[in-house]
Amino acid sequence: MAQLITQARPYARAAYEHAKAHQQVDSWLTLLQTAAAFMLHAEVVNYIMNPKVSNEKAVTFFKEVLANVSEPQENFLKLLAADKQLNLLPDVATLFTAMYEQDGDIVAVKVIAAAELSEQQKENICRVLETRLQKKVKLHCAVDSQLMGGAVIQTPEWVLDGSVKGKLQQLKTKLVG
Amino acid sequence: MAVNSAEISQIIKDRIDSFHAVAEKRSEGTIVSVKDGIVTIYGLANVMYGEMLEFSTGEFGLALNLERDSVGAVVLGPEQGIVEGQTVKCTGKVLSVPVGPGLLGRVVDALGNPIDGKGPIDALKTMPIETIAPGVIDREPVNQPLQTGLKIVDSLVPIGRGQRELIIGDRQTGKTTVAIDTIINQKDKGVKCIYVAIGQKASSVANVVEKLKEHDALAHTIVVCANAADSAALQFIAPYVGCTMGEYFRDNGEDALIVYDDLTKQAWAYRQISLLLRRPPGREAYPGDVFYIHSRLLERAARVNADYVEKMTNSKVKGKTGSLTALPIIETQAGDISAFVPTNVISITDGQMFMETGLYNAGIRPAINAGSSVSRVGGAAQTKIIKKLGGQMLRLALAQYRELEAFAQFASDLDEATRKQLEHGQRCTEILKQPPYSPMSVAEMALTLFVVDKGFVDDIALEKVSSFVNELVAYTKDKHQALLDKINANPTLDDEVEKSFRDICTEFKKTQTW
Repeated sequence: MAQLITQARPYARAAYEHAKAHQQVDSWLTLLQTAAAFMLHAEVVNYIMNPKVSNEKAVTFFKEVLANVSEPQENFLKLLAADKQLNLLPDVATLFTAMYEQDGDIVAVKVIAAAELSEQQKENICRVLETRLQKKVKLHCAVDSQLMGGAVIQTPEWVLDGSVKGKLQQLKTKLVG
Repeated sequence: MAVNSAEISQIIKDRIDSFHAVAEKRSEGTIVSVKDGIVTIYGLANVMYGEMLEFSTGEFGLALNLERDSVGAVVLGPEQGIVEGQTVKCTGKVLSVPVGPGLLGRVVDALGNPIDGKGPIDALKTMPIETIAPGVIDREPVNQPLQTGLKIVDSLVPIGRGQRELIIGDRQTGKTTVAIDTIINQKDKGVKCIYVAIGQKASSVANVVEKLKEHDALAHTIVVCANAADSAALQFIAPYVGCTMGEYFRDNGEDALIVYDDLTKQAWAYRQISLLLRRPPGREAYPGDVFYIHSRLLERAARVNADYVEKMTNSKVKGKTGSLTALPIIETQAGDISAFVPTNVISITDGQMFMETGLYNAGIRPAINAGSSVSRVGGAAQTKIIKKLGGQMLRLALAQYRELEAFAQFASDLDEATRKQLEHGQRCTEILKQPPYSPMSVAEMALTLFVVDKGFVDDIALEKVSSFVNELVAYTKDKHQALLDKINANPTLDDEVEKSFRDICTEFKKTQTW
C-alpha cells in the first residue's frame, strides 16, 4: 500500500493538473472514484491484471462500465494500461481526492459513532469541526456498536477518541499501569 | 510487604475517583507490513523521529524511518500478535527509561524493566535515551584517576575519570574479566557502575551477575542486558539506555563507570535493522552512520564541571564535578583490528587495551599487549606514586624486552648487559600478571612495582617471582597495614615511603627463605 501510493502520486498529480487546467475536476473525480470502486472487486482486478487481457481490452472495459469517458481520460487509462499500472487506480483516486480537497479547503472527516447519528447531531459536529479546523468539513459517518457510547472522530491528521470504549481503555491503563 | 485487601480496594477506589475521562486526541496509523521486527505503518501524520509508538498488543515500537507515505519502526520486544491492518498509536514521547539510585543492585532489560525478580524499581524519574553530549564549555579536563586495580592497566594505560578506554581483542582473551575487575575495584570508592551486556548469551550474563554478587560488587552496579535472544532493536538501544542511567550520576556530581560489552554486537544489530529498513549498505554492509552511532554514544562519557552539575541539578549540588567513564569492548575476528568497527571505535576512544590470544595462551594474564596499548589522556590522571614507580620506566623495560625477546633462547651466548635487560624484562612481565577478580589497592601495587624497579627480585628465580611478590604483599598487609593505609590516602612517593618500602623488602627477604 505504502509503495503503491508512492507510484500512484505522479499519475494523480498529472491527472489533477490536467483536470484543473481544463476545469474538469468534477468529471475526473467521478471517473476516478467510480473506477476505484470497481477495482475493489477481485473479479475486476483479476480480469484487468490478467496478462492474457490486452491493454486495449482493459481500457475498453473501463470505457464500457464508466459512462462518458472523455478523450483525455481515455488516454490516461491507456497510459496506465501501457505501464501495467491499472492496479494503481484506487490510490490515484485517493490522492486525486486529497488534492481536490486540499485545493477547495475541504477536509474529509470520518465519524464513527456507537449509534446512528441524527441529522441534527451531524450538523452540530460539522459546525464545531469547521470552526476548529477552519476548513469545510465533509462528513463520512459509520456506526460501530462496539464503541458502546460516544464517538470517534478521525481527521487525516489526528484521531479524537470520545468513545466509552476508549475511556474504559484509559481507565484500564490508569489502574494497571 | 503485606497489603490487605481493604487497602488494595481503597487504592483502586482512589484511582477511580481521581480518574477524569476526557476525549483523547492522538495520531493513529495502520500497519502495512511486518517482517523481522520491522513494521511499516501508513498514517501517523505527526510522528517524531525516535518516538515511541504503541501497538494494539501493548508492545512498544520506535519510529526510525520517516518517509513520505509510510513510517518504518522497529518493535521493542516480541512481535507476536502484531499483524497487518492493526492500528498504531503515537505516544508523543521519545523513548525514555527510568534512572536514579534505585536502579543500583538491579538487573534490567533494555527498556529499564527489572528482570531479576526483585520487584518494581524505585526510580526517581525517566530520561530520554538519546541526548546530546555535554558541550566544550561544560567539560573539565580528565585529571582524577579511576583505579582498575589491575597492575598492568594502572601503571601502563592509566584511566582517568571521564575517559573512554577501549578494550579490544579476540574472543576468549579476558576482555570481560578486565571490565569486571574494574567494577569490583570500585567497591566503597563511590563510583557507580553500569554493565551493559549486548547480544550475549544469557548464561554469560548470569555468570557476570553471580561474580559481581560473589565479590560484593552488585550493590553499586546496574546490569542492563539485551541478550542474544532479544530483538535487534533492543540490542541496538541497550548502550544508550545504560548511558542514560550513567548520565544521571554524572549530572548529579557523582562518578560513574560504564562498560559496553560489546559494541561489535550492537553494530551488528544496527546493521540488521538498517538493512531491513532498506537503508543503503556501505563497507562490510554496515550503514553509513555506523560511526555516528558509536561516536555519539561515547561522547556522552565525559567529565563535567561544577557549573554544569549545578545547572543540571537546579543548584541542589554545588561545587562538585561529575564524570562518566566508559570502557567499551570490541571483539575482533582473528586479531583483525583494521576491520571497520574496530578502527572506528579506536579512533573515537581516548586509548585502547589490546588483548592478545598469544599472550593469554602463554599464561600472561591479563593478556594486555603493553606495546600497542595506550591511554591518550590518562597520564594526567595517574596517581603520582604509580607514575614514578611504573609508568615510563616499566614501559621502556618492556619495550626493550620485546626487542630482545627473540634472542631469549640464545641467552647463554649474550653479553652481560643484554642478558640483564632480558631478565629484567622477564621479571617485569612476571609481576604484571594478576589472577582474575583480585584487584589491588594503590599501595599494594606501588610496593609490587617498587620491588621490580629497585631490583629486589633480580636474585629470585623467575618462576618464583610471582609467589615472592604475593607473599611480600601479604606480609606487608599483615605487619605494616598502617603504612599501606597512609599511601592509599596520600599516594605519593617521598623519601620516607621509599625507605619504609626498602626496609620491608630487606626484612622480608631476611626472614623468609627466598
